[in-house]
Parts: sequence; C-alpha cells; structure tokens
Amino acid sequence: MNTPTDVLRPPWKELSRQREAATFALWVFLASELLFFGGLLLLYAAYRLANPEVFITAGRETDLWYGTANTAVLLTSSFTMAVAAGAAEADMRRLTIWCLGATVVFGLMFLVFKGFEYAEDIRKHLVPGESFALKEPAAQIFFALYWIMTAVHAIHLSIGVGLIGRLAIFGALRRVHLRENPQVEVTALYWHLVDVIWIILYPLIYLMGRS
Amino acid sequence: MRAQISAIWRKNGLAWLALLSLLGLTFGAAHLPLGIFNVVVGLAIASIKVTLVVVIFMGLGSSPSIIRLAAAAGVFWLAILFVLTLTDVLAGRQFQSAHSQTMGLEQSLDRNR
Repeated sequence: MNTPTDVLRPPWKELSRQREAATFALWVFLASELLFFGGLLLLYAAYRLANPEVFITAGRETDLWYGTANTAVLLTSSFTMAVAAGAAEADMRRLTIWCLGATVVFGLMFLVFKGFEYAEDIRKHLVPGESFALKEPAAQIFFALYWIMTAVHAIHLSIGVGLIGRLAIFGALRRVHLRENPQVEVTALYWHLVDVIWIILYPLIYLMGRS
Repeated sequence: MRAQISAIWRKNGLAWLALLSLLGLTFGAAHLPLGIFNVVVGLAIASIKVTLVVVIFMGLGSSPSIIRLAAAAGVFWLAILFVLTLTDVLAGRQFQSAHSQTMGLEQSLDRNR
C-alpha cells in the first residue's frame, strides 16, 4: 500500500513516524488535560469530604434524566468516532464521513440537552448568589463546581465538534485526505477524552442522594 | 474489505453495548440504599467504563509503549496530587484517636492557618 504523500508533513519522511509522533504528542496533551480536570475533581473531593451531607442534598437537585440521556448520547458519539477512525485507517471514505457526521450530530445533541438543563437550573435558582434556592452555604460550593466543571467540559466538547465537523466537511469536499491521516486519529483521541471526563463527572454530579 | 468492515463494527459495537449496560447498571445501583457504598459503586463502574473507552476506543491496548507511558504518567501525577492533598483525611481514617471522627477537612485546614 503506497502512502498518500499529501498528508505527510516535514520533518517526517514516513507517514508511520508522523502518525506515531502526532499520537504521542496528543497523549501528552491528554495527560495534561487529565491534571487540569483533576484539579477540579480534587476541589470537589475536598469539599465533599468536608460537607458530605450537604453535597448529597445539593446533588439531588440536579436533573438525573438530562444527565443520564447525555451520558448515553456521549457514549454513542464515542462509538461512531471510533468507527470513523477505524474506517479512515482502512480507507473507507464514505463510512468515515458518515460516522464523523454522526459524531457531530451527537455532540450537538449533547449541547442542546445541556442547554435545556441549564435553563431549568436557572429557573430553579441553582446559580450561586443572592437568590440561591438552598440555604446551606456548602450547597453553593457544590453548584459552583457543577457550573464550572460542566461548562469547561462543554467548551471542550464544542471544540471537538468544530474539529470533527471540519474533517467531515473537508473530507466530503476532498480537500483533506482522510485515509491514514493522523488528524483523524488525533481528533478521535481528543473526543474520547471528552467522553472520559463526562463518565467521571456523571456519578459525582447526578447519581447522588437518589436512593 | 467486508471482513475488515465487520471487524470494526463488531469490536466497537461490543464496547458500546457494554458501556450502555454499565450506564444502566450504575443508574440502577444509585437508587439502592447502600449508604457510603453508593459513591463507591458509582466510581467503580465509572472506572470500568473509562477503561473500556481508553483500551478499546482509544486503542491503548495495542499502542506502542511510549504512548502507554505518556498515559501512565498522567495517571501517576494525578494520583500524587490526590494522595498528598488528602493525606490528613487518609490519616484521619487510619488513626481515629489522633483525629476525632467528626473533624472535617475544613476544620483541619483552619487549624493549620
């Protein structure tokens, strides 16, 4: 199989080396992202250990159905992204483009659900401040963390939607060669990290105090 | 080609089904009155889901060792961050006499000021 030369960039002479370098660099970036979200999770852990009961009471106010539906949507988007990456490697252009498109649709669906959820949270006065709905001070800490963590996650997700959308459109217009292109693999890895972060957030935000 | 297509769908499809089943499981388990174990079960199932995504979707299972090392480094530093920050909580659980049971993290932070 000859390598498509138009995705090869200097200083690499072989595509396999370029791919390895790109994947390695992205994993280093993902490790730093893990520590970035890790800081927020640590803050959550410390405050939760200090206020175990209040965190459970506050967690009960989140919307379990939006949270669960969004988890299912994001898991499915990771599935279509994984198929897209596999298809790009096996030179199946159509399947790659369709799966990239499906991933974008699922990503947008997540953002729409999140928007409805945020609107409901605002209606229920769950934004920390003067008119906050719960009387315990630590409940405001829980919701401050809720807003920061989910918003930062949503920003990451929006960047992912942009990157995948770009690949899908440029791939369909044949402006980008999808076959064996390191960009597809790197974008897929980033998207899966966004999914991983959500998987960790889900039990910490939505599953508390439901029994 | 056909075999290749079905291999891609089968591998990722099975992982997807497993992930959705685990989501159902964690959703159900959250409704059982397990006390402190609710959060333990929730986090345990989350880590199984993360492992499935990382090993199968992200292909870490078949990656070169330099990439596994990069991933492991992230987890390693995260573990140091958590263990060192929460040392007094972990120690409090170990030595109940030194730390009274009711003392929360905030109070122990206050005492150090």
